[in-house]
Amino acid sequence: MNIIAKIEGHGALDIDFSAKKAKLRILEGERLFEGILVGRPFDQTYWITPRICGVCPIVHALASVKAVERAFRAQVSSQTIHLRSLLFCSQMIQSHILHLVFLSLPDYLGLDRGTEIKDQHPRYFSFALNIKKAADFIAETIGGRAVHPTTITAGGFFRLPKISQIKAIKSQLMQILNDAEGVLNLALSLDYPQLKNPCEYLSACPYDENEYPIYNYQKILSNRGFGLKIENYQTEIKEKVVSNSTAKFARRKGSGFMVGALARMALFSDRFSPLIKKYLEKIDIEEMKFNPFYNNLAQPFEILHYTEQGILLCDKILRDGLDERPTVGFKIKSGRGVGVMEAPRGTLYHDYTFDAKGNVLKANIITPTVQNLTHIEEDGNALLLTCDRSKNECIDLIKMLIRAYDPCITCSVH
Amino acid sequence: MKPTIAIYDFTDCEGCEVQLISLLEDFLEIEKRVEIVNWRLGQEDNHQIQFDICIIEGTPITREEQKLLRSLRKRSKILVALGACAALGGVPASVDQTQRKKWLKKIYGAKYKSRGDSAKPLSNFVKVDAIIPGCPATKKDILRAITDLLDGKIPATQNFPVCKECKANNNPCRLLNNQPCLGPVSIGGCDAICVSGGAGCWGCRGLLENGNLPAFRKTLEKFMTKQEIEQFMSVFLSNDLIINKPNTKT
Repeated sequence: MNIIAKIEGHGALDIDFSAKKAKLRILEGERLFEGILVGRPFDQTYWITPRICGVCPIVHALASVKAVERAFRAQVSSQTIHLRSLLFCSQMIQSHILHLVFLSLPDYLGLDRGTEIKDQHPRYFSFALNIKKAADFIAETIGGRAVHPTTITAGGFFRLPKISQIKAIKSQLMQILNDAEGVLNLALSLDYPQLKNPCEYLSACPYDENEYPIYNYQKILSNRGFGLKIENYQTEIKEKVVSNSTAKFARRKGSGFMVGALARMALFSDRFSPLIKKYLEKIDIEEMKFNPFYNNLAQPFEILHYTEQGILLCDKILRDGLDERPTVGFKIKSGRGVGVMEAPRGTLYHDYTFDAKGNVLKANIITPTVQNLTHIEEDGNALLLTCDRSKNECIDLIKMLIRAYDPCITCSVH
Repeated sequence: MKPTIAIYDFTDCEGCEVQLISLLEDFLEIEKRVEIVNWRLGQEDNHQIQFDICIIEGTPITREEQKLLRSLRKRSKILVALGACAALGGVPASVDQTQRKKWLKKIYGAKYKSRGDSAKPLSNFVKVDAIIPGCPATKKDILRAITDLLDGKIPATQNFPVCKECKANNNPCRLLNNQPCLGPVSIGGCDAICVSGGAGCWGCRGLLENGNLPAFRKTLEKFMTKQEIEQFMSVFLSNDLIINKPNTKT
């Protein structure tokens, strides 16, 4: 059994070399979050569900609170949207830099543990530390804590940051712009293994056609040129229980598909800023498409993008000032709400149905990794067909492929 | 020779390990003083099987995890529970065994064979030498505990309530304002971070040994139903509630 190291959660890889088949086994224990939620009041959903994942708890809290607000038809203020968007930027930066430096980059640099980068590439390692620190600072300042936020509540926030703190966030983000460019330059200089395995890319699509995914979403967009209604996600994305796995594997029309940084970039890279487009010119986006290893290049693109976006959001908040009322009022009623967010690893759905008292009757959560698992195996199979190296080297390459996806096994077994 | 450390994780969210990595420069300092010989999340080279210190995050839900835990105990001089899942069973413990069966069938279908049992703390299976509490464990506590361990000391558990630091932070008392809060009966040391954020204390660091639970329940009953109280306390404290059944003392 090949336990896959340096991924979030417990998975193993089985390879049948004669049949050229790679199979993932997901070993995490079932936690049954969808069952835990039933019968509980709405305001426990966004406290409990961040505990699905310690790497992306903020985005679980946001998807959860959005589902609650949709069910109760609560319209949050633009101030809340700005602050939550800024918090979301910190989540993207935090998760991507952690994954890149501690889990994936060592593969490309011929190292094992992420901290070994400190000795070989001290400059890049200090960039990464600065980026992580700034992202944690934003999460702590707006969300109350770097892991498992404390300030998020239906209708807005329990408490608001001060204007001086928004200024401090802006100055930290300005300081890491250069570091984020540095990490992107490093990623641009790496050699990415060859693989071409066309697939469907899906991402939640903003209302504003110039906006890269951030907080409000109109529909789910496919690279095959059509949109899916968010509320219909269950008919479009089918989860399947498979043997030897505590995570379900999702398919669309019988095939795997991909969500996450590379999918978003493939769909929306024309929405990047001029600064980032300058870097886009250095690569061929068409070459990146359908080679999942390039997910590790899409991540630093997004780190730079969300750093820039964070600065713009600070400017908006500073321009508008902070209203003292942290929440809007709403009426608890029965109904269903679907909260969708683009999480670091792809589209995240929280879907709750409430009774008239606001207690959960039904809950369904689909995480990005559940959506990616089928295609990870399909890419593994494709790699086996072309891999002309020794068995052990093929195994290592497939493990590297799995890590490139940045799978979150704990998310997938919620 | 440097002390050897292993870091293991069972079923959980891995947020406490994220906190450990987020120590950044302090983590690099720890790395200088120890040899991390086994850490699946952090490295591939995991060959050593005996450890001076074994830090375990998560709850051993699956039979494989329970077996591994027993084996790790035999192979480790000091065994440390990191975070609420390891120390208490945590959020995964809020479904009990009968509920588990029902939800496994609903979520995975009738034919599905479960890998797991209900979530229990590590101490349900083996002797635990030290606890780093919290959901997530605080960076301060992680650093303190590791520093103590490297000095040959067993890190102590705090024995004051969350209210102590909450008052120092000048938060208005939630209980006096009829808002749920487990501060008076919960282990402090977290700087009352959740109350300061606005969410109230959910007791993630565990119940104080000498907390007066029956009297505390009476306070909550002024504005919550018994069912609401159980639901609130069950988020982190399900395993403790089994021991501290309500109304056993009157």
